[in-house]
Amino acid sequence: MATSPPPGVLPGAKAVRISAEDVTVFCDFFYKKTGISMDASRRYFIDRRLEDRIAANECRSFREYLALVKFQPGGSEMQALINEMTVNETYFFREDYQFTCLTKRMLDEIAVHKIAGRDRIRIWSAPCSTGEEPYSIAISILENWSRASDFDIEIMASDIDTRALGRARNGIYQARALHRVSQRIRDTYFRQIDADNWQVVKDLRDSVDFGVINVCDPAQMARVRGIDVIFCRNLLIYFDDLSRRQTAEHFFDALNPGGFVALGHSESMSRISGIFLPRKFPEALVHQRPLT
Amino acid sequence: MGLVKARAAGNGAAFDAAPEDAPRLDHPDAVQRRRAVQALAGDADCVDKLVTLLRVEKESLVRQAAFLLLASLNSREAARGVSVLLSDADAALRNGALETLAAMPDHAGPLLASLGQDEDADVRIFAVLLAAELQDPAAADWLVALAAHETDANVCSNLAEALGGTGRIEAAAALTAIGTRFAGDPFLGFAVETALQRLREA
Ligand SMILES: C[S@@+](CC[C@H](N)C(=O)[O-])C[C@H]1O[C@@H](n2cnc3c(N)ncnc32)[C@H](O)[C@@H]1O
Repeated sequence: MATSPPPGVLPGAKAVRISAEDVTVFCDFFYKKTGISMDASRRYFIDRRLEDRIAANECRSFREYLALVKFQPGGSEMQALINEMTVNETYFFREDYQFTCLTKRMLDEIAVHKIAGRDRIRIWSAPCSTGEEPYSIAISILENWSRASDFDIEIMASDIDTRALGRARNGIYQARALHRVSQRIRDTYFRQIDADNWQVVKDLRDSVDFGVINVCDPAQMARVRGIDVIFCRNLLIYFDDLSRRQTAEHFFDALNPGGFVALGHSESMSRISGIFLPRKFPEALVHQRPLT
Repeated sequence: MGLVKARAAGNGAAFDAAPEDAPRLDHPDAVQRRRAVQALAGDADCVDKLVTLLRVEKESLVRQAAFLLLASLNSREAARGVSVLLSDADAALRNGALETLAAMPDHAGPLLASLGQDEDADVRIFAVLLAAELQDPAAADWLVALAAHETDANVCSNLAEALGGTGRIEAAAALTAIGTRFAGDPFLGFAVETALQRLREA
């Protein structure tokens, strides 16, 4: 990397510098689009990425770039910016006690209100990032829920980041990403494609329905209905209070009565919204849309 | 049976749900009323309709949706509408109003002056709590100004606590003035002393 130009500088181009005011304008705009609340403490992170995008588009100023992002037909630069700004960290079987809770408790409760052989069960991983979470959910169900073959089970997975979604659909992971995956599971659900890479087997890839959804976009969220379990982990930490509350309300609407939401371990629904019932299972605390 | 893909399965994939018609605000079912509330987003009379509804609505599910919509409007009109609810007899409603105002600090701050002149001491108490939530210099100035002439003991005990949290030197004088005004009231004396202590530590 020593020979590459400094961040934000195309070879031969002059760097556009970002001012404190630009950052404020940008954070406000980005928040309105994504719900993600970034503050000046992340200045370094924001500046670098913005400068990169400005240079890539050969814009002469931050203002010119912002106009491009706002008014470009098709919105591809907005998408590129989102892909750049999101934090996609995730791994297989992250916080797996929640998957144990899914297969030991939540699914059995959901199944009580369904008719075997006829009804479907819908599980939604939002956000799914590069796919490790929905594949972990699928494997957990196949491995650990004895009634899996009684129902049609749909796993839906979405993210705002299209680049992460592309990787999720491909399902190719480096060996070190599989460190929490036992050898037996790896040999059953993955196939080695070269020395360092494994791919999720086609059947499993085909069983997850990936899509772009911004959970802060009411129109997109209005199209998601009839879900039984939502995994929304490590997303709300990037939101401010208002977007968290709005997201909780959207989830309520997306769920069937009696459906569950599982949040990340550092995220607390009680501090966000009172519309869900806390359900304390031995494995995990989850949140339920009341049955009536 | 087993894992299936929603889109391939064809029948009503959950990502493609059809749009639903909005029900009426007086629907007997709370879940439907909540949907009616959500559908008010973008309605020109949204604030009036929500505030009118909040005065009669008892279900927390519906109230929360209404407050959330008001907070997301983040406008002067929404803040004014919500502030009217601070005088409602229902404590849960007043708390909801307070929380909603705190979520729109730019529009709630300017309302402090008139709320502080309300005849109802309970409204003044909520104004003090709101100022404490806002945590900005103008709200702190307003607390100091109110402390100079407030004569209701309950308002003053809330003022003492709020002033203690401002970390301002001027707040000490305002606190001492409250202490003098209520010299015979041991509870207020204690509240003032605690607040002064907090200021010293800050
Ligand atoms: C840290 S990852 C979490 C992935 C996974 N749920 C986990 O816990 O491992 C956060 C993801 O949230 C996505 N994201 C951020 N804002 C979003 C929004 N408004 N709507 C949908 N996804 C969003 C990011 O693109 C990123 O992939």
